Amino acid sequence: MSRTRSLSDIDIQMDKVIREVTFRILRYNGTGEPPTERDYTVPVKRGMTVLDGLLYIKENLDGSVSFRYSCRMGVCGSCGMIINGKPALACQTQILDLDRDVITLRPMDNYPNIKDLVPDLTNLFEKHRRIKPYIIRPDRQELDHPTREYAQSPEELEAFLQFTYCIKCGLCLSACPTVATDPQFIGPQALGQLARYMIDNRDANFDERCDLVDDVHGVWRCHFAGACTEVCPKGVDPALGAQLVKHYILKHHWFGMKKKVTQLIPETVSGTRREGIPEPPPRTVESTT
Amino acid sequence: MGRFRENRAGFGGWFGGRLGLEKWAYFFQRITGLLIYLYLLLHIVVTGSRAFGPDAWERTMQAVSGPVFRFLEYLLIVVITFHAFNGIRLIVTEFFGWALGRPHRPVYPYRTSLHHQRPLFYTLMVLAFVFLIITAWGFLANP
Ligand code: SF4
Ligand code: FES
Repeated sequence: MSRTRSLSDIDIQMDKVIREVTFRILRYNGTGEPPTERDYTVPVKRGMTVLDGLLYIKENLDGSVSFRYSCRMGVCGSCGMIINGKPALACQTQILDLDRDVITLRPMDNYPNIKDLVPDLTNLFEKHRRIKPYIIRPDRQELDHPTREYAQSPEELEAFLQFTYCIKCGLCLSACPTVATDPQFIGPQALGQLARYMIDNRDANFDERCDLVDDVHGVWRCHFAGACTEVCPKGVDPALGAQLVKHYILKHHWFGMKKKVTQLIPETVSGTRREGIPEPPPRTVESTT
Repeated sequence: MGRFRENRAGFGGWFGGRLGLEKWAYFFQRITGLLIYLYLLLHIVVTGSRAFGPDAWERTMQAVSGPVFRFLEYLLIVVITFHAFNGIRLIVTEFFGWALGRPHRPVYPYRTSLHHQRPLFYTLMVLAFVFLIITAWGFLANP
């Protein structure tokens, strides 16, 4: 009785409404009045994410529901919200995976609320800016008008690569119990990024970076609750970054830890060119040096 | 800014969010820390009664004896034991950066520093439990 499933069978299934789910959205009108819950019934098909459900509501049921999104694939970091009590990206959460008849949605905690599910992330970006998220070196000229690459081995890259995957969604600050009671705490996102620049061997600003967050609202407010790491949708592990930052600060102040900063690769790299490698495409940018 | 606009989790954020073991450990570490501090204040008041002469001291000691205080004393040991053993984990991970694993290329399902330090967490909690059983036995043996 074997029956091979054709592509059209699967297509039919993709279009079939599998269950009806109630979206219970906390609506806030932005005037300071208490928010109220509103229910919407969404027919769910296979593969629908919470963001798809919200778009369905906006298109068919109530055009006034507000939420942020751009990429709908976990890259832009716009659609963070609290889904059934847990901070998550709406576009990375499958409705059927939640397996509930009622899905509660509310805006991320610890951010001022603008309207409905739209938080004001200014705090997040300001904290990020405070740790100077860019490479700082004495050779400014070379940074602005690069002539060659800085030497960095694959191992040296892997030592911080994880932290570069941060999409600034802000879920980690929303989950953090320390941010909940100390709004000035620098927060896991910035600490993860600070670790990224402390480890990156192209950055020559290690000593100053050790002092950036060495205060009461800085890294020492973190007590490793790990909530940031549990909710991070990109596997950035900001809790690891924060613990490494503490470790480096202590090593720097007590044992005079210094960082080994990499230099430009030598002008002439020895080696022979292999046969049959195609020429590179022409330059798209004029070299200014 | 009104409360609803600010939308801060506040104290509820210490344990909310359906989150893992380490967040609970964080919560209890803070609560036990506060309790130990409160105990320290009480302790100073109680032993300070010695300054008012041996009689005052004897009277206070009478007041804080008996099975109820004995039980509270044991609870104090529970509180301090959790704080101390969990504290060892925090010192090891936060200051020395041990037991956390190294940064690596994140591949789903992510294996994070939390997973790496969990064996240490479990071991310390088992040790704390064993320690508490031994002290309970000591308490019962010398009433
Ligand atoms: S560390 Fe993770 S949770 Fe925090 S902002 Fe970056 S991607 Fe989002
Ligand atoms: S819409 Fe871009 S991360 Fe969800």
